[in-house]
Amino acid sequence: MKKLVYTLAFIHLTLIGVVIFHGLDKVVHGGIMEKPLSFLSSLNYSVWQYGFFSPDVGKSTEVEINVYEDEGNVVQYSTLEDFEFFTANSESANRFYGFKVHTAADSVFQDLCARSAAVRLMNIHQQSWRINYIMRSIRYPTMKGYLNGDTISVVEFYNTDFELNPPEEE
Amino acid sequence: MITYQQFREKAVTFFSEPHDPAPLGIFRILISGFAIVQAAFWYPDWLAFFGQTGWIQWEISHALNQDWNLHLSVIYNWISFTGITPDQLVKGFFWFYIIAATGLLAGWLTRVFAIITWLCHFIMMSTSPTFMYGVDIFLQIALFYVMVMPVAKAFSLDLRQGRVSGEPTWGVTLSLRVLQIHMCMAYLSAGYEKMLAVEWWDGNVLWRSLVQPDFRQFDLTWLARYPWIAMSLSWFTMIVETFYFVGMWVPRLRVFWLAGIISLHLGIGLFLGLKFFGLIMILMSVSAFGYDAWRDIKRQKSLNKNLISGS
Repeated sequence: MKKLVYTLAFIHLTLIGVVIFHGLDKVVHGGIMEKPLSFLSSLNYSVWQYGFFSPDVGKSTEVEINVYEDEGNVVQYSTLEDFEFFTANSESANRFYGFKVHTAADSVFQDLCARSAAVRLMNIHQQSWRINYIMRSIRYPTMKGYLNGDTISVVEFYNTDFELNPPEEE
Repeated sequence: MITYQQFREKAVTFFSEPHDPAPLGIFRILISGFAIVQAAFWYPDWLAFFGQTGWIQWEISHALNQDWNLHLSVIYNWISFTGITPDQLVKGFFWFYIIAATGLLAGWLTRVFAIITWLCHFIMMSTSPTFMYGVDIFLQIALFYVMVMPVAKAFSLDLRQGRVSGEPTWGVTLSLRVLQIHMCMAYLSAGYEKMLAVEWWDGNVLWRSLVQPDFRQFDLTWLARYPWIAMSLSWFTMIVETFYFVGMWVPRLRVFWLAGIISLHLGIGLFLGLKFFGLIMILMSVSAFGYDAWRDIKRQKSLNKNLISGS
């Protein structure tokens, strides 16, 4: 029993060590061991790289959602303006950082997430008939560039509309 | 020069000489307490993150799962015959998680509640993967360790009621070493990955993270006029993280290194707004090395006392 436990601990730590030094990159991303390692990782994250906050943390993403209501009102929400997506506290708001990073990574996933967020907002705004969902990437210049007057780069990379019962034209 | 035999003996002692189980009891209390506090903060938005019609609806979040993930929608399908609504299930799940984590905190039927708490967190990670980030990953790692390690051997009801013994064992030592080595490797990876990026050396990554909208807590754009501040903080971060595996094993450095890591994560919490992430990283380091650091302080105090009385 003791030998088995020590062996398992040794394998566990070796796996963590090999993975953080990218020794299993090819196996983790494709190949016959991909699924078993992914399964193991979902249990205890032993197949995980801890390069958090490195190197490109300077890139940010903004989500702007415009809700068009029957009366002609347009309600605009933006992650840049303390929108915080109706969260009760900053910890829940932090979770939208992950949401933005995940959704920005894949175009199909962007569509699905935009649709899902639009449905939620239509449920909240019962009078709405159209949702416009926009994503922009924001990149700050370097410190030197900032002092030299370089502007913050804002690039819109996703824009979609969801319409429900558009109002009849007069 | 150390011989192979001496090295072997040292390694055997390091990994198996019975160790006081107190650090593992503290680890259990800190992690289960953290899980409860985090869930309490989550509660007002619980349905928005985990509900069937939350920000990411069940159909989509379930489609992101692998075969082995356990999504709340699957559990709902199992028990929908009872007439329960999805929202009732999600709210009930919250209280189930809280009860399990409380049982774990008290150390009552510790192994059972540790497994349930870990499983609940696994379900949460499966149900809302889009909203998970570093704090949840480290909580999952910690709960896994709490589940398999002998964490009931100190400060628990199981110990008081005689269900487990509080004797030091090789299991305690091995568990503590695994946790310590895991933390060392995590920081080594975090530190050296930063060192590979030029922008970490000149402080620009740190400056950008402080001013960009996702993390900005205060207007710190003025730091651009004093680049040496961002640069010094970047270097401090890289050194403290990369050489964590050295600092934490040298008794003379351990207290300072632990203080350095705590300062780093307090800074992350305060200036980047990632309070829970900062907190769990502090708790992990305190669990792994806090007991040794505390003993170092006591030893130093007694040495100082002896010196004073001797003089």
